[in-house]
Amino acid sequence: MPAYKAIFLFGVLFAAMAVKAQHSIEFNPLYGTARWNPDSIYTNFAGENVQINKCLFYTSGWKAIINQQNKKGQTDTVILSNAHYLIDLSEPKSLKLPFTVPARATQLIFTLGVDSIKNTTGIQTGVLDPARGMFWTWRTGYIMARMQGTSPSANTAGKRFSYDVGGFESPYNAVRTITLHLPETTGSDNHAKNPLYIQTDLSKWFQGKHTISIAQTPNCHNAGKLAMQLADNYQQLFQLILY
Amino acid sequence: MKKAGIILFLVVFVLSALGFMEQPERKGLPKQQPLIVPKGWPKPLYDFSKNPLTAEGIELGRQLFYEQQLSRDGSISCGTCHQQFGAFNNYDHPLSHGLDNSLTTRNAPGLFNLAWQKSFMWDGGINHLDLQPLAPLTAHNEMGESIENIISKLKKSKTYPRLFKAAFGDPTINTQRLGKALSQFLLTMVSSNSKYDRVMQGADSFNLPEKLGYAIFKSKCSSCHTEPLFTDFSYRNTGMPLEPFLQDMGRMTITQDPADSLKFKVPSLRNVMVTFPYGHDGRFFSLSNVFEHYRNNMQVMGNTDALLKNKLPLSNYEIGQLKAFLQTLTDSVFLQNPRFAAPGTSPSATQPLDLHN
Ligand code: HEC
Ligand code: HEC
Repeated sequence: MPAYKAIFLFGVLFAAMAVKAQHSIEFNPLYGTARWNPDSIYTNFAGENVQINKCLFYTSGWKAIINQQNKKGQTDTVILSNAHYLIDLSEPKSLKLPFTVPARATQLIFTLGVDSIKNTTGIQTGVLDPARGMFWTWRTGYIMARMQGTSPSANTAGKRFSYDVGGFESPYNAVRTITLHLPETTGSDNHAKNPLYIQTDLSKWFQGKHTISIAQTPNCHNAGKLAMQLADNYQQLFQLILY
Repeated sequence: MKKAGIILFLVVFVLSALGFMEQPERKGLPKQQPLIVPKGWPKPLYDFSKNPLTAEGIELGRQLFYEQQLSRDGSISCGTCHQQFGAFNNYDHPLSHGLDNSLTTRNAPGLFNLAWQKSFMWDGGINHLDLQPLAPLTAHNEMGESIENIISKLKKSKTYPRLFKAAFGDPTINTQRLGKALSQFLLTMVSSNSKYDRVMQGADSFNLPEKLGYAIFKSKCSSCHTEPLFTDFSYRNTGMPLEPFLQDMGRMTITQDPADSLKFKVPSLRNVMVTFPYGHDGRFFSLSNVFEHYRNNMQVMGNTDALLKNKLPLSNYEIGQLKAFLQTLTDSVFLQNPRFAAPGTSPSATQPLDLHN
């Protein structure tokens, strides 16, 4: 083998070792500041009592922004995963993501929803299989996010409220990009391998950019204005912390 | 030494990966049977590269199309609402019967030439043919079953794992393959053998009323019912007032745009003589009702199509000629093609007298 090739491979190996300090990453479901429990009753901004028995959403396009210390001021985007993940807050296994975040990352970026290609090319497999129930069969489109529960304020059968948010076409494209900043301490040596948690505060469904009251709108089952408002709200669901 | 080991491993890994990629893509898969595009027709829009037609795939699709087990109580198949003698519409039914005495909210259209269609349903809400079956399969007023149950029923059956293996190379059964197999069958349903087609190819000629009717058609109808598919696949408001019970807003349900209120997809007029009743909710019993609508009963609204702002004046004479022309769009080869009939049966040439149940 020519020497330059060996040196090159050496370099690759060395670089791989240098970025080896990695954080595992996991969603942590909350309501306000308390850990979410499907049996608990919470109160939203409008004073409505809510019990949430289900919340699921698709994520994809996971990326990290890394500050290159050697090249001054330059940043680098690292693709963490190209797959779609269905996060089911009642399914602990789905909360932990199967990849890690480099320790020197300063931002974490992901897409909440399913991109338009997957919405326009027929039937997908795996977590995107319509059999998973996160898909509208009467009009094409993934349900990007779902939250269901009961509330005495819901004027519906069984006092149920149900938000299925979808839509991938302008002007009602409910796909949202989430950009999270990593805590300052992340890169420092004694934190370099600690897990990252994405705090997921379900109260934001009702109060984020907009306010959504269950008495007024207990249901969302189509793309459109309400779905867009809910999507704007849950765009603010997330915050990163490091343990 | 360890380094060399890693390098060796990488080299072997890359080479074997290349080896996999170089394998002929369809090894062990059935022989492809490309769709024949009728002369003078545009290119199909369906992406056959993702789902090449094969005899085995088409046969599996046919079995599934007539499979009642796909419904929750085993009583309804696609073929229940899409009947060959009605060009795969629901013959003589304004709305169709689903599970438990339920009714659909729209008229089941004829099914043919689907490879040229870019979206499906009267409101265009479904954007891929493979996805279309999931709508009736899961709708409570149609077949009322969950996709999960359908897949597990198929996996447990004696015949389907074998048929899926024949069609796709291995016995995996999933939603994607269910959709692809049904599409393969549906895509073969090409209707291009009417008298009109023979005349266009110079193999036959119109009689006088047909010829006059064709001329009227070209001047008054073909901007929407465009040849050769007899639809331009656009959505239009033809002044059909809102049905108070069904409250069907058409295209607007999908786009949420008030400009799309009461717009529906222009239906193909091929085989129109056998696809009665007419209109998205089957409100027109006969062709005469449709013509009465166009010339008298239309309610012109703000977003009624520009071509119909003054309704569509038609004399009795013109209607007679148009009817003669529309007769030439019936494709009896298609209506009786044994390849589209339920497995083990042959298509009957005569329509049943009364199908109401
Ligand atoms: C209960 C009756 C019923 C059953 C069962 C049924 N359909 Fe339909 N089908 C309809 C109706 C009604 C429509 C029109 C729906 C609409 O536009 O909203 C339709 C529309 C379609 C279309 C779209 C046609 C077009 O031109 O846009 C296709 C394709 C289709 N059906 C295929 C199937 C297949 C495949 C099955 C079996 C999995 C099936 N149907 C089962 C009633 C039925
Ligand atoms: C502006 C576009 C336009 C023009 C022009 C037009 N149609 Fe239509 N036609 C439609 C649309 C849209 C529908 C579906 C209406 C609905 O059900 O909501 C339709 C429905 C029909 C139907 C019912 C078909 C079925 O299967 O339900 C017939 C028959 C028909 N048209 C014949 C004609 C004839 C004949 C002419 C010319 C005299 C004509 N149309 C002109 C747009 C048009």
